[in-house]
Amino acid sequence: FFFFFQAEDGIRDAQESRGLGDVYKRQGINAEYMGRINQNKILKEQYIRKMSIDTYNGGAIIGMIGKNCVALACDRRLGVQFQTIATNFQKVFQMQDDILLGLSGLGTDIQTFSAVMEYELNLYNLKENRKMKPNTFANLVSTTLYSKRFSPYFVSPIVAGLEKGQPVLTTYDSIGCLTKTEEFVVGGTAAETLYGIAEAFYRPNLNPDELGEIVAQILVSGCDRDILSGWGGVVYVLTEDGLSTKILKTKQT
Amino acid sequence: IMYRVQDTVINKKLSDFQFFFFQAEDGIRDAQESRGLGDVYKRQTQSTWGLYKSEYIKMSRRFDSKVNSFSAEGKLLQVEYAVEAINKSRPGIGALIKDGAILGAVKDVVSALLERTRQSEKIYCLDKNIYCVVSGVSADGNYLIDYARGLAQDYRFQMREYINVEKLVVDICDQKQYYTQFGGSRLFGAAFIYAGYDTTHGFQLYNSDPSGNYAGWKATAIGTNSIAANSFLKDEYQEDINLDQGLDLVVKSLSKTLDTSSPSADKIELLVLQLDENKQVKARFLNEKEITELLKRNNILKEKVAE
Repeated sequence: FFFFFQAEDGIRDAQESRGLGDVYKRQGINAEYMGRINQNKILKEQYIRKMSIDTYNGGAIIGMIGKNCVALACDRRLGVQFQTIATNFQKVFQMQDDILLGLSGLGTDIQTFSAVMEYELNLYNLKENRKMKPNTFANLVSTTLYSKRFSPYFVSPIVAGLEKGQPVLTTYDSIGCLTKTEEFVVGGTAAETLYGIAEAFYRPNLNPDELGEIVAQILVSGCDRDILSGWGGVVYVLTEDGLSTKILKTKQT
Repeated sequence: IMYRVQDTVINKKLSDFQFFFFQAEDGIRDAQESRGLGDVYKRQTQSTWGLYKSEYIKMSRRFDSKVNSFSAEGKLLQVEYAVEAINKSRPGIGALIKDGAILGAVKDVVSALLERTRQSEKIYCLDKNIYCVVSGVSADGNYLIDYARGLAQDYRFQMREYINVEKLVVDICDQKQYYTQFGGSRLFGAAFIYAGYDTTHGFQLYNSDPSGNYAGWKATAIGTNSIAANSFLKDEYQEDINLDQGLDLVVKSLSKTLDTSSPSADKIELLVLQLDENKQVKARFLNEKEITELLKRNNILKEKVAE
């Protein structure tokens, strides 16, 4: 990197030199920086390369098992890198009355993958004339992801369900490696922060209300520390009696 | 000197039609008879190729005169025979009511040995908004039902909404039509009555026959004695009837199709399609008790001898 000091408005800042000469008058650091980036293709490529396809849209999800119940929560942001586009983007899908599918990762793949799973589930219901068991669905997610092993869906799903009253919670990498858990799983750009907070606050055998409350706290704290996640949250708690949905208002950043 | 000729037509009768073209495959030009089907086999030796050629032409000539050709009177005999097969099969009925649709069917076999594995024997769900009754060769019907289910889900996956009823009917009919013209296979010996809902046209009723022809109806019948049933429906049907009136009508016309045997509830299937409070289609099969009540109400049920 070359650094030089700019003396334009009497304030000196270190700026990356594009080697092309200054075009923009300094307005704000970000605006000028962005302007310069867009001017210079090489710098732009470097900039964009820092954002991988998994982090492009941003997002956070967390699933946790309680006593005869399971919770799945997600944030609501859809962004294009640092720009926020939507604050009502759906990431958790109720596939059946006892199965939830939570997805983090690339926004378009979240939409398409949930549609693919709905397609499979509908045909299964019609042809086999029965509901799909949550464990079966969890396996189907794994095999569907693997079927695209060489041009994958850029999503990291979490399946949460209740099979005969017993909670089911599974997570995957984007090519279908299935991990079954008895405690909690996290996903998305906020995963690292969520891991730590969840580890601290998780307790086994929480009842549905406690579970919903704790998962909400973990999600909000985690999203606060991740610039690509947040702008609200939704917490789903699945019990034998049904599904409860709570929309969280969070810091609007 | 060898010279190239493209598609010289020798002036003969239709049955002796032959094309000649020169093949330049191995750098050697020969006159070859064109089978008119496109070359599938690379020329190996003159003798083996000749063998394929004559066998193929013999087979194809016999084939062509059967399934996919018109008769001298301008009929498609196979289609007519297939329709005959339907007219000998168990009946199916459909009727539109003010706020929904009803499908009814008579079951094929009622035996004490039969183990019921499915909820319904003759009435099938194609997608949440469309149901159908099958009449005819069950296996053919099952194939088309699975095919239709796949199409409906494909549509749902692409458009993120339920397929319109008529669109699915047309897709199924296209498949039926295909087998009346191509492939050299027999027709699907299955006729359907479809009942479904979409936001474009509300509740609708259609039927399709083995030829791939379809029509929209307010009420219709297929299968055995469908002529009698249809004539009854024509006289008795009124628009905007409510559910009870609709069920009465369907059950009465079903009984018209069974002229000798006494219908009991276990021989009949009835499905009601309506919208729930969220404007979603809800489908409900009537249980045996309800059907028995219905038959009694319409003086159809022959009372069993007291034991």
